[in-house]
Amino acid sequence: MTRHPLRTVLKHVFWRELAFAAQKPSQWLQPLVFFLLVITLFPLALSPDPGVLRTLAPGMVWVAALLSATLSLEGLFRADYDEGVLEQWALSDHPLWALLAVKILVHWLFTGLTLVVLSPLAALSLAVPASAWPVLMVSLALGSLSLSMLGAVGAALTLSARRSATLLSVLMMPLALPMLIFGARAMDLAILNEDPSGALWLLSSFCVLSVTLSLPTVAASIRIALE
Amino acid sequence: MGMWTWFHRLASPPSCYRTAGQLKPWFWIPAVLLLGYGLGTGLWFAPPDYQQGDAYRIIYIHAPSAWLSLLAYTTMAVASAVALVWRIKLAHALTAALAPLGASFTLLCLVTGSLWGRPMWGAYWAWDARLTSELILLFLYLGYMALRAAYDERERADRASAVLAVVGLVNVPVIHFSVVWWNSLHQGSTVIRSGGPAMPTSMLIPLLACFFGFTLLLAYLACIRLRAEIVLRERKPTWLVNQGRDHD
Amino acid sequence: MRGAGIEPARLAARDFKSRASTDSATRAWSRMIPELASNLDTPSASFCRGNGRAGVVRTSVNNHQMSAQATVKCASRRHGGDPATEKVAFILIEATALEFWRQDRCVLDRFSIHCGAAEAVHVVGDNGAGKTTLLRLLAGLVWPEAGDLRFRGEAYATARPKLHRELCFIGHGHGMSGDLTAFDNLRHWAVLYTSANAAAVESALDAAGVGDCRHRVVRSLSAGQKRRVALARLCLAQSLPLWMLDEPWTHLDRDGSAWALNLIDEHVRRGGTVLFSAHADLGRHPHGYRVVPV
Repeated sequence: MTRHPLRTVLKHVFWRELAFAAQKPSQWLQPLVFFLLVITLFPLALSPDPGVLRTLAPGMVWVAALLSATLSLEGLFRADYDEGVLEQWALSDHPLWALLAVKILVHWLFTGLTLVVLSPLAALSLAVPASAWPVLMVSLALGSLSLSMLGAVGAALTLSARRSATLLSVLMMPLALPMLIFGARAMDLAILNEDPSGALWLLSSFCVLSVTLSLPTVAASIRIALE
Repeated sequence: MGMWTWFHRLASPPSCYRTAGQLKPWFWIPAVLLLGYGLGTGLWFAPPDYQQGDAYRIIYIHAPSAWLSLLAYTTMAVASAVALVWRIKLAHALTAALAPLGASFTLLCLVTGSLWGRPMWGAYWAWDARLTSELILLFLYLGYMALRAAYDERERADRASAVLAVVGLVNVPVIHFSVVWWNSLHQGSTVIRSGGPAMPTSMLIPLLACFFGFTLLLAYLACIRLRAEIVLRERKPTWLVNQGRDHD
Repeated sequence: MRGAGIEPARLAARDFKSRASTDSATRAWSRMIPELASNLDTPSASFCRGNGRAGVVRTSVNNHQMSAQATVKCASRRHGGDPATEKVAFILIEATALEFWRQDRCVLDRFSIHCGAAEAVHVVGDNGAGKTTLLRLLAGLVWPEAGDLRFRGEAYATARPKLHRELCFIGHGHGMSGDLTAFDNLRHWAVLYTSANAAAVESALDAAGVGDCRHRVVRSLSAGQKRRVALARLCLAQSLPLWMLDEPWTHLDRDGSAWALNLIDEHVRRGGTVLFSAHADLGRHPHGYRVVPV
């Protein structure tokens, strides 16, 4: 056997990506700070009244999460593409979508999951009752995962284009709309002490759909970018 | 085998250029006739709606342009898929040709919808399900054109925007469903009704004429733009020179 | 057809028109194959299958467990020709009439190339002649606008996975992450492409002359050291028969160039194929050297 099995390769790629993330903490810390900053801007711009904030909280949290996710996804593939590592991945015999999936997953662990951990902080500042926090965290976890996947497709498509700050956001936001609607609705229902399971199921099905469709698309887009 | 050779022959730029040129009169003449009848009847001669008065007449432009915006996007996505799978360059040209046309029809739909909204609910804009879906479709078009413009090389622009078009089409039903779901929760705005649940024949026939007429108009404009795209992309333009020498 | 080493097998037939009546042709080269196979530096050869037009000779190089499977095309038999003098060719990659355009500039215009087992093909050309594009086309990274690409007789559309299983491609950039150490980069590549362990990676770095830099971040190395680390992959790539190297000698000093040349020479002697591009003339030519201008 001249090659390692896929399991070993994926494990190796996983640790490599972890090493990268650990080396450059600013890459995933800055979007989190951005998230908290945007959350802070809303009460300053609107009103500090807890009633108003509680009504608007789902929308504010989700819009802030969307914005910070698009910021962090910009440089997902850029370094590896410029250095030629993606080329070596594409030329190896292993399925490209699997290698990219590990990469996106680690990225999500550091940007999405950390966002989920920070979200109670945001919820606290927006006068969201603690009973709604679990639903908030679950919906943000699912939503940020689908956002990472869709954003990876956008990041792959814009790899060899002229660099633009907002191109990825312009491409990604219409596609992320269902996630925004379902997630905000789930959080809204939780705040009103109603049953959010309908919205959560819709959100999770959208998450599954985006993961399933995005992985082959990302691989195809990377191959197109390498052409 | 015959179908395949016909398809392959059509997929060569010179024959497609020629065919598009030959099809043009077949498109614009019926389009003018149908639109003349449809718009003329709808905008002037049909009786006013008992509920909305004369304001409903804008449906003769609004509904066809909504249909066309979706048709154009679907055609773009299908052509992109064909171009990606079978590597046919003409399909990329067709997609590039259709994009601004589809975006213009989407904009027309939004503007007419907003004009319709003014007498209906007193405001130029309301977050109604259909209008919001059209707005998202406009953003999809703009995103497509932005991605295309961000590339310097035409081949890369073609391929990347083809993937985006396919991804967008797969998402359009999901987006539409989620917007309708969202709108059903927030019962704020009224929904545009297309003249009521049962449209009388005197209103329906001009509307259908407008649908067909606008579709033919889109086909005609697409032919013109496709020929322009073919000329733009052609690298060995000897056949073009001969074409120009042969007629006009 | 006897000759030293692989040379008889590399006689490329200029026209490959095979005749419809194939029995005589089949018998003719079925006689030739064992003879040809015995002329390769191989311990064993077996005739696998054949039809009128092409046959497959499976040869194995025992000392390196590499099987070079070559497609034999039967050349046309001229009237009254002696079957024993039929020319055959072992062809690994065959590209005919490749066309490639970038924007409105024609980079490759109806370009053909073929390479077979145990060959070192040197693609020469000026700057901008299309050497890098050609290598990327042959590696399956880019699709040509027109033309036919075949790997072992099979079109690239289906044969790409098989090609990638046997390919080691070192592009113009070094293909390594600047933020990782040299050892980590090489280990990552080894995990992806080979089954080498950490000790093999260490020895490859030592052989490349950058053993003392193994724990230094690649970004901090000089251009020549980066190139040496990149080429250290070749020490581990012995199980990959096909090497494609884009300008491997850039930034290398004289020792490094000699070492790289040795690597290529050894690989060709083992029966592998090396396709490399360089615009400079090499001092010494490796075994099985052939020049293709672009």
